[in-house]
Amino acid sequence: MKLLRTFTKGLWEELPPFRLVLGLCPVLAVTKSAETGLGMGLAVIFVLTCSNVLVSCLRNVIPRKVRIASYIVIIASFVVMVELASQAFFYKIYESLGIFIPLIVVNCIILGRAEAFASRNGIIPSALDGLGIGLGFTMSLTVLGAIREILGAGTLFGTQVMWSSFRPFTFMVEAPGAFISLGVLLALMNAFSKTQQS
Amino acid sequence: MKALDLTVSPAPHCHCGARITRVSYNILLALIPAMAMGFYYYGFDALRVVAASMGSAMLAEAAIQSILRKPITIADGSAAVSGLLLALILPASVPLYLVVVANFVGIVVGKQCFGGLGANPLNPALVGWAVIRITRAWAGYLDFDLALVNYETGFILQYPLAVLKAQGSAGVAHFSLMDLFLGKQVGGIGSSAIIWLLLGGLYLVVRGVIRWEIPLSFLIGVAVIAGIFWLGDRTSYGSPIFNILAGNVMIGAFFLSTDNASSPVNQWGMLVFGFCCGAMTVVLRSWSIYPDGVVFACLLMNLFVPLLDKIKKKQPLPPALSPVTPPVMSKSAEERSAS
Amino acid sequence: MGLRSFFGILPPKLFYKDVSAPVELLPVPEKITLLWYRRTPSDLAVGVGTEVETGQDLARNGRGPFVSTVTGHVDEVNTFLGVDSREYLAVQISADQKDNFDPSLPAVEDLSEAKPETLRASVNRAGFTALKSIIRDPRVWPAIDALIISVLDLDPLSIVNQQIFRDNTDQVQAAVELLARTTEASRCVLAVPDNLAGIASKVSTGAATVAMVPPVYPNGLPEILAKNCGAGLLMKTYDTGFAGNTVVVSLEHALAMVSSLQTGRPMLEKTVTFSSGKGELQNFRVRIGTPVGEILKRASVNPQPKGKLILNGTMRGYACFSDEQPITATTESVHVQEPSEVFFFQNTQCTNCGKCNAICPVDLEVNLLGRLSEYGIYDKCRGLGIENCVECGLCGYVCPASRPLVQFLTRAKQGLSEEAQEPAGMEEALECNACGPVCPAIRLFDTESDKEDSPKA
Ligand code: SF4
Ligand code: SF4
Repeated sequence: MKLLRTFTKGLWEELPPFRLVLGLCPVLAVTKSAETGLGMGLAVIFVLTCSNVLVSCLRNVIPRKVRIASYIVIIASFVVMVELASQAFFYKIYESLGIFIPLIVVNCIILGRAEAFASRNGIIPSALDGLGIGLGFTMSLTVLGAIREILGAGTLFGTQVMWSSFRPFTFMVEAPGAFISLGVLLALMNAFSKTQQS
Repeated sequence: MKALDLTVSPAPHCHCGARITRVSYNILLALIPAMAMGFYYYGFDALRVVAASMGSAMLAEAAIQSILRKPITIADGSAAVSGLLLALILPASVPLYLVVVANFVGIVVGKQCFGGLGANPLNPALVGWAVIRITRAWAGYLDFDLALVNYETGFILQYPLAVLKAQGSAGVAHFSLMDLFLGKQVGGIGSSAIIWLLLGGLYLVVRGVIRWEIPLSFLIGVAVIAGIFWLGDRTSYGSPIFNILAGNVMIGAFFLSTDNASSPVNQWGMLVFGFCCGAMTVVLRSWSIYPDGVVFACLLMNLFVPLLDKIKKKQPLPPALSPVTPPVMSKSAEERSAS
Repeated sequence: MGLRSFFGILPPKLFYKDVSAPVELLPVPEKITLLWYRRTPSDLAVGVGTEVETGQDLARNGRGPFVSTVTGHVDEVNTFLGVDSREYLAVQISADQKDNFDPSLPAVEDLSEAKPETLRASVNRAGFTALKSIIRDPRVWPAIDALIISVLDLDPLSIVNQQIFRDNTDQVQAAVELLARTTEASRCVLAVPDNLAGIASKVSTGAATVAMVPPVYPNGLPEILAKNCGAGLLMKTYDTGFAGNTVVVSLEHALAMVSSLQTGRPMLEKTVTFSSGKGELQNFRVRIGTPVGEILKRASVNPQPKGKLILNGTMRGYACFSDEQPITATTESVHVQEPSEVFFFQNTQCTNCGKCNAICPVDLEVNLLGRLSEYGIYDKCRGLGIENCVECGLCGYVCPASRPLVQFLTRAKQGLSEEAQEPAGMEEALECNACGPVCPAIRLFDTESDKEDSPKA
């Protein structure tokens, strides 16, 4: 039961960009379309789960004082794996994500989970935590990307969903559109959980 | 004791009678001549845009306030003012959904998200305009040369600032400054009626609705910086007078930049604010991809308002002193004098 | 009264009335009430039923003076909630129509030769409670830097001092000289509104200078007079001492003081301006202690239910809850508002129009102060100079959002003075740590684990 909660908390209670409001930089930058959002999310799931497991394994070995540096080395190894893999197999997504794949190294969420969870818990909970948080992150990015893509380009995962004469509201795929849609989603989520509580 | 049932409250017991509603309605009144000029030149199309814009602004405000369960304040007229201002800087041919989107974003994101009237850091009308302006797919609708090509107005159907940008000052030689001043130029529904905007603006200054500092320093800012550019290179930049009479400068100086909430409150702050708005306008006109820079200049300066508010006169009174204890306590002195 | 502005280009101005209204003397009422701030019946030398004479000191030896203004007998002694919501000791006296003057208050013989100490002692005995702080011994208190005798009134709707200046021009010179001698002030100023310049030119004031003041509210407030014509800061006394260097006396008080030196009689009467929404201003001279109701009766105006009865002016004054409120030595005016004229402030949001900043006579940032006080952030108010607010009421008067700005400012001042008296050690109690569990920054780099050296088990 406890393990299940470890997994599911990443899907709502601690949903990464919205609840923790961490790692906003890639969230704003890569959600121009649902596809890139999903790609980024998958990369983060992989890196987060693997680094959580490894950090949890090594948690008694790493001295406290150099822990952040050690975590970054661990995370960076996985990020390089992801980068090379995506370069080899999903070149289009690799192109559109650009610098943001290498930047996963310093993504606060991954570092945050390593510090706050993996370094204090066993391997299985850490893996589940990484998976849950990663899934939540992917979900949020895909939803945000889908909203921005539908309004800003009239398409979803590249297929036309709006009527043919639709003149897209390209504001949404620009940077200010990202901020506004993130803010609106955040507000809606807060409003929803408020009605849930009361 | 005879019960009188009087009202009791702390001072002051009177009020000069100024109301927020009166401020808004005065601004609406001052904008009527400019709006009428728009109707005269562009007919029903202009009316359609103005009606849609004011309607959707008020609807947006009422909707968001009822969703947030706040008191609905569209009666204070501030939403109508921002709707009208937005309509007046748009071309008459603009599709209505653009107007609606701009107003909803302007009112909801630009105003109510920050706490409503008085708390908005940016002028909501300008936020709405900027949102549709930077939407690339819609840029054609806002290009005055493309949008207004089908109208019979009796004056040159070229947007002066776009001509200036493309051809330099030689291209604008055939625009008579008098025509520009009388509002015979292509532009927004109301923003091109220079003389009527000037009169409306002066009316507001006289009524004390807006302070004179911002419009004056705005115009000075435009004139000074445009003069510098012009003296440096007379072939590619317009003269200061041309810069003041063309485009959005007049509506910007009197109506867009003077929005209470998004402009400074102290005198020196206002002067600096207005001057920088004007200077930024000319800089954007000269070096940016947009022919006119008034709106972006105002938005940019809006962000500096908290900083500009810190410019103020020195406190004229010394800080209150803490009581000094006399060498002999007052009590004993009193007793001595009494005995 | 109204706001006139030069085409909105200059900040609007609130002008004092420039009218003349003859002073009408009202008869002594059947009952008067004398108020004494922060005292108890044990401070009195008299009890219920005692016969008193006009000018008699009712205070027990050394606690006073507290002077009866009529001849009659004490009816009642109780506490009284004043219009300013402070508790007073109230002594009610049934008055006879004829005055028997208490012989124990002699006139100062040979006024022109008398020493300042003698003059001061005499004024002190005559019970100028409102002025006591200035009539003191310069050997104990430092001398006053500037003494201002003000012909201006406190409120735009009050014309008391103006009228007295018109009626008693010939006495002004003697009063100024005598007062300068009594207080031994280094500088003496007669402040006259511009509109009375013609009369002022007839007065020769000797050592005193005449300052012409534009008749614009709040130029007549003592704080503003001290700033513009005096040595800077109005003198205020506290339990522990005093602050400031300038003293402001209204012309009416100055003249009363002089006549008390000449005749030995204390100040018995006070002139007040009566005004209502309609009709002219009227001046009445009444015995101190007369209930407001007597003035209303004479002016035949009845306050309506839900209307307002205001003492001391609409800008700074107090609204009364009953017409039994007595006139005191500092009451300047009585104003009656119809229910329809009563203004209600609302807690609407500030629109940042800056009208309050433009009109504030001491240049405070009132829009900020109002908002800070609204949300209880009092300590920031101090940095913005809130102590300088003179509570003139202008900011609330002009605010288009009808915000109760003066009330906000007063609340912040009160909050600050309460804070100053709060015992130390409050900060520890406030460390609730509720933020800790939800703060992402702490989770990321929590300070506790940084202190440890060895890896966690
Ligand atoms: S009451 Fe208002 S206007 Fe008057 S001094 Fe105070 S802050 Fe300034
Ligand atoms: S006058 Fe009222 S609305 Fe205007 S700035 Fe002051 S408090 Fe705000």
